[in-house]
Amino acid sequence: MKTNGSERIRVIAFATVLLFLVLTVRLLQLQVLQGEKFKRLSNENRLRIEKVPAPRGIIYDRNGIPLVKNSPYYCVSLLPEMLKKTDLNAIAKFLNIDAEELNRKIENRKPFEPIKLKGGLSFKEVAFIEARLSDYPALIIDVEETRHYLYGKVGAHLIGYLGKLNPSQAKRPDFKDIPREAFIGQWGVEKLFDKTLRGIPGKRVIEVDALGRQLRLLHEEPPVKGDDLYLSIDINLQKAAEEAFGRRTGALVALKPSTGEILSLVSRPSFDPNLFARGISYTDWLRLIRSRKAPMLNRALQSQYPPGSTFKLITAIAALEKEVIKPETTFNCTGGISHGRWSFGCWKPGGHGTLSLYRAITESCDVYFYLAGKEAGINSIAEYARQFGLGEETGIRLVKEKTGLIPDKAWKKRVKNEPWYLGETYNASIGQGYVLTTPAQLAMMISAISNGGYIYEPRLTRIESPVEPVRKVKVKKETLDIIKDALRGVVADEHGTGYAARSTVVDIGGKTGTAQVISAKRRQQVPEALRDHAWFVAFAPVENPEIALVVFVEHGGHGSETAAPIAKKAIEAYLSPKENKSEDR
Amino acid sequence: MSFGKTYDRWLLIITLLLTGFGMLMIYSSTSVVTPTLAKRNITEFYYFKKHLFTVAVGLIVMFAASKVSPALLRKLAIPLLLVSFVLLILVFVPGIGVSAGGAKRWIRLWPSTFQPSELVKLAMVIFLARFMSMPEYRADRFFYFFMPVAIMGIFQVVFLGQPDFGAAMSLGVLTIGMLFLSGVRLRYIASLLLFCIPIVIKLLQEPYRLKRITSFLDPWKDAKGSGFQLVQSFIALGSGGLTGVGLGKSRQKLDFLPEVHTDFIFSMIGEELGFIVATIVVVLFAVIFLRGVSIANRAKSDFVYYLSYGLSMMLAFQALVNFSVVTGLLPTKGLPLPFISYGGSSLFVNMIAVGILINVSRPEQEQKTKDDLTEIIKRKKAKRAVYGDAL
Repeated sequence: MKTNGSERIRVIAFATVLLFLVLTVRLLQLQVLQGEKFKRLSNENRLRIEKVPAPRGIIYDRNGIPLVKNSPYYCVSLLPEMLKKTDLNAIAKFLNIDAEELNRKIENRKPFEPIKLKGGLSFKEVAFIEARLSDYPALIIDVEETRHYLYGKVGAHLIGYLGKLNPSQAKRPDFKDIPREAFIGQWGVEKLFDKTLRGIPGKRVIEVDALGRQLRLLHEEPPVKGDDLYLSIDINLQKAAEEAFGRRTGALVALKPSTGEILSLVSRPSFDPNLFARGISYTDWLRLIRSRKAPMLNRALQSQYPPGSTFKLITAIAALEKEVIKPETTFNCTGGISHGRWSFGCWKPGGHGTLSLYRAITESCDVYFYLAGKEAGINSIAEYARQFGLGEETGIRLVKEKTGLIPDKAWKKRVKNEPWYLGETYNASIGQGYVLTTPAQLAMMISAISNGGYIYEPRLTRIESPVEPVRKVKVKKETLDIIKDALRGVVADEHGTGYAARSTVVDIGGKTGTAQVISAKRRQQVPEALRDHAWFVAFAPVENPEIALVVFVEHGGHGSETAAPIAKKAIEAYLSPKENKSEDR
Repeated sequence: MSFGKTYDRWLLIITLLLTGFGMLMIYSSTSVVTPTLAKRNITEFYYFKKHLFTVAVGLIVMFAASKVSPALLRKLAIPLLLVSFVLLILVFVPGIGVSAGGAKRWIRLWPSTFQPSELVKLAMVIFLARFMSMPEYRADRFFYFFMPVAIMGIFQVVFLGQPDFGAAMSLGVLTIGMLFLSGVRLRYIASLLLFCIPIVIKLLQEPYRLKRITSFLDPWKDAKGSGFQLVQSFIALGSGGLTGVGLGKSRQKLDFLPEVHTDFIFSMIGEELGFIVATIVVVLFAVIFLRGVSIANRAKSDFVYYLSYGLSMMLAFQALVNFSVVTGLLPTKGLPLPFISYGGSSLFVNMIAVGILINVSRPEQEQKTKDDLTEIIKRKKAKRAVYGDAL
């Protein structure tokens, strides 16, 4: 049995002894041949590992206008390996920081990891510290980059801001390689496209002497700059839109009907992302989140209200598609109808008289749509509303969206355990009652009406090649043409409710809407906080639309007064001749 | 007693020499109370005192092991393997198992902890020696190859669950090494490569795992993170040079080199005492191995033959892996240096191995007449029966 083994034991014994020999040679190499190199590192020298931050990618608008800039940012750090005990208090004193806290930081760090003491130094402060570097070799002055948002509050909700890695993110594996002090995208596009913009930090392993002077670069990996990002928005449109709002609160969402690109996304009031660029101060943060006007709320996506008369377009489409009315069908508006004990009025006290669909839309007659909605039925209205993307998230991932609400009989049974009443159909037909939409949803709706019924995925980045729509609504082209023709009338006709949006530059189609806050008859005389919200959905040019948008003004009263002029200004800013645009900044 | 002249003295002397040297170096590495240690109320003699106790127990264990006859050891082979398996499983039992750094490798054992994976190695060697020395054992039959590999596989699964890749690797190499020795067909061993295929696929699919394993090849790349320990080990060894910076004068032990008193003690030996002493340590381990080989070659029974080879391989392999890790030839795995590193489990098991080797190094007649513990007890009982309490 051992016969075969005796040969093999020789193999094993020989191999083992050989391995011991290899180890001795390795020791000889490490200790004697390379010994000097390591001795140098150990004795008076130490290693310093520096992370070289990667320049963050620049964000541009669709026309290549830069929206952000990386500016130098000076900060002073401390390398505790170089610290003499007596220095600590002196350093804390002349930098005006808490020595106790500094001590705690030193204890919790990894070896050779510099501790950031103070950022955002002025040139004067840098010079002051620079002069003392020879006394305190543990101090290091670094130049980092900070983000400067060139347009300030304009587009802040969309562009977003940077922030420090928060503790819960620090535990997640996808942020593993990010240094604790680093800034990453925490809001808006900066957050959504953080990985694209971030780049890969470089690294320098440096040999330094006892005074912190650099002796030699042992290893270097250059940083890789983050990719630039071209957004879908047009910053001039964005700016014009925000200016048009003035002091009013509200939102605007503009889409390119042929692609779904977001041309502008406004939420007013806005905030200044530059406050966040290097860590927002506690008082600034409190001011932002405690403000009664809630500037951090993205009203384009997170506020939902009854769409008011803008919803009549859905009622009209449902009634036409179900063939319960024809364009030439007329109803007689006497200023209201009654149903049992209840009466449902038209906004025009005396009534509109006998009118067809075209005038019903241009003059926004409530009675016509009560009756058209009654013929179509709530379930048909809901069916078409959903086809146009109402009652569901649009998929703009900037913030957690509100879904809105499109009621039908099943919904009411499920939620309220009650049957659906005709009066509720009347309310829903004119976009009141249970119906709720966000501005972004109405933008999707008007975009699809204007482009022949195609629903595109809303996009935040510029599209380089044509995209396929997500779906096409099941509505005949003639139906949409009838609606579009009436929408042109809303703005162009003398009695049209959107007359205030009429432009000399371009042919605009649109529809006003009012979301009731209280049901008082004389809404115009109530204080602003109780006044109705104003809607306006629009697109232009009517024939071959390049822009579709929604304007929402909180407590703006009737859509024709406040919302329509904003829409007009935004559209003109986008469609008027684009000269010297990229030289603006 | 007259057996003194016949056992392998060198083996005992070198073992005691390395153990004593280990005590000295453990004192050196832990006597400087760095701020990190001071925070945990650890004083100058804290580790040394604990280690002193461990060594004392280790010597008793070694002596006891040297009194266990091969026949008894043979009988104990399977129970020992089962016991080691149970202990290994206890690691997962809350309250008994102790986890550190995300790994569950220890069981609570007053006043300290015990690492069952160390015992598993010993139990496996004894079991394999018994298995291969069975009269019906046929090295050219796949069944006799497959059986031990399957048993090893069960242990491997537990190791990977802990996780303890170092122990898994040690047990694998040890088992395959002994099977190779017994003369199994090489293609059986080659067939084990099939098991590597899923591992290779996984590594190719998830390159970061491969990167983690191969990061030891270039520790400078991440000198602050994954390569930190190795870079510090290099600095320690390198700054030692030919003759060292002097006993007790290591700089690297000042919080720079993690685990300096356990897995990385050899780096500090190299720093304080230099290449010459470090090489002597390496040579001493090689001599232990060669003494073991020579004991095996003199063995009169197959059991003792395989047992001696297995134990010598076990000792040599642990030392080789530890040396390779601290010199950057193998990825960093938690394996202590036998006899020298701080830590009881490893010391006890290695002491037992030496005790067994010392015992079997004696001529077989003497073992039979003098060392069979049961025999001795029987004889004493017989004497007592004759002379009564007068003795």
